[in-house]
Amino acid sequence: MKSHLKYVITTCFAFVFYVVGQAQSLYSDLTITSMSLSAAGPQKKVAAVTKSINQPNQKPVNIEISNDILKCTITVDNISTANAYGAKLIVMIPTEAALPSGSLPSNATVVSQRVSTGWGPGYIEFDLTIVYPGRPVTVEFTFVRSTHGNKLSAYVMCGVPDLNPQNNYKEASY
Amino acid sequence: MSTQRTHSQGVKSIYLSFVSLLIGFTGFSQARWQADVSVTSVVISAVPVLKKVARGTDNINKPQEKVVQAVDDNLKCNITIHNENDDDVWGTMMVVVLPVEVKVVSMPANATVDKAVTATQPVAGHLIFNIGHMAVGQNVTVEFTITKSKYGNKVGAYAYSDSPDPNPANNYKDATYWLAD
Repeated sequence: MKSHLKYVITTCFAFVFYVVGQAQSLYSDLTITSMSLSAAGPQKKVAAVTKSINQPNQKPVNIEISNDILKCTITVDNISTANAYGAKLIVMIPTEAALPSGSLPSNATVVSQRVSTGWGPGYIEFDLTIVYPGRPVTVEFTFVRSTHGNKLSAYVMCGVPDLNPQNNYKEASY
Repeated sequence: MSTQRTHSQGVKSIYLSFVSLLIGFTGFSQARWQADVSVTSVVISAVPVLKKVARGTDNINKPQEKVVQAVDDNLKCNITIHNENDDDVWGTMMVVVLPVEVKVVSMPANATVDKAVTATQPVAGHLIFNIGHMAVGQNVTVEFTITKSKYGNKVGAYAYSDSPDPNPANNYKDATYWLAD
């Protein structure tokens, strides 16, 4: 009987601590942990520099991945204890870069008032829905690179208050 | 002689016009549509609100009196964004990440509270301002009021648009309102 009472009291305490803990976690902390750009075009053969001039018949080639198309990989993490509801990721695309059809995942939308008139690629809005604590989400897309610099920037936000909005921003260059 | 000179001057003038036209076209084709949007300032200030507060008394036998006093319960936030570079910016938006557990007291018509706010999650995570078109060199300032947070009052603003931005690092700025001890 006594041990049963102890069990009930322990359970009650655990429940109270759980409820208090839940009530205090009304904020999240989303962060972009990594953002990288890499070559993702078709493979091509590039003549390699021969090491010996005494072997003129050898024509070595290297297989390289073309950087005409770049792949952008962004990882978002939630480093708080609360779920980040309504999470969205904004990614700005460099000038004269192009987003061919099929290069974006299904949760991405291109936003541009003037993209139809050929003025710039606009920006991409990713709907991440919910980012759970300690469960990073990675998004990937490809684009035709710009010939005028390839700096991309990203900002993540959510509907739950964010304790540290500073770490929501990151940029990457190729 | 004079006619020949006039003719040669005319040819030279046509030639120069043609060259300058060619340079103009080449320059135009090289022009890239880019606009550098930046958040230039984020300022948070206290908004005194008149409230009834209990006045301290030395006499414990006397009931505590309530007096009307200015209390800094709300915070006013002014954020200015600027467009530099040589092109207009289109579809400008600004997301403002709010401090923890605050409510929006007032905001302009072009602002929306994040749609993730529900009955179970009543506090706002962020506001989104639809700024729209901005001319070169133009500044736009937005103002809104929120309640004060117990958990630190940092407001972060990030501006973005559908115009390519050569310098995205200046699109973010934040400010913190420190509570008096």
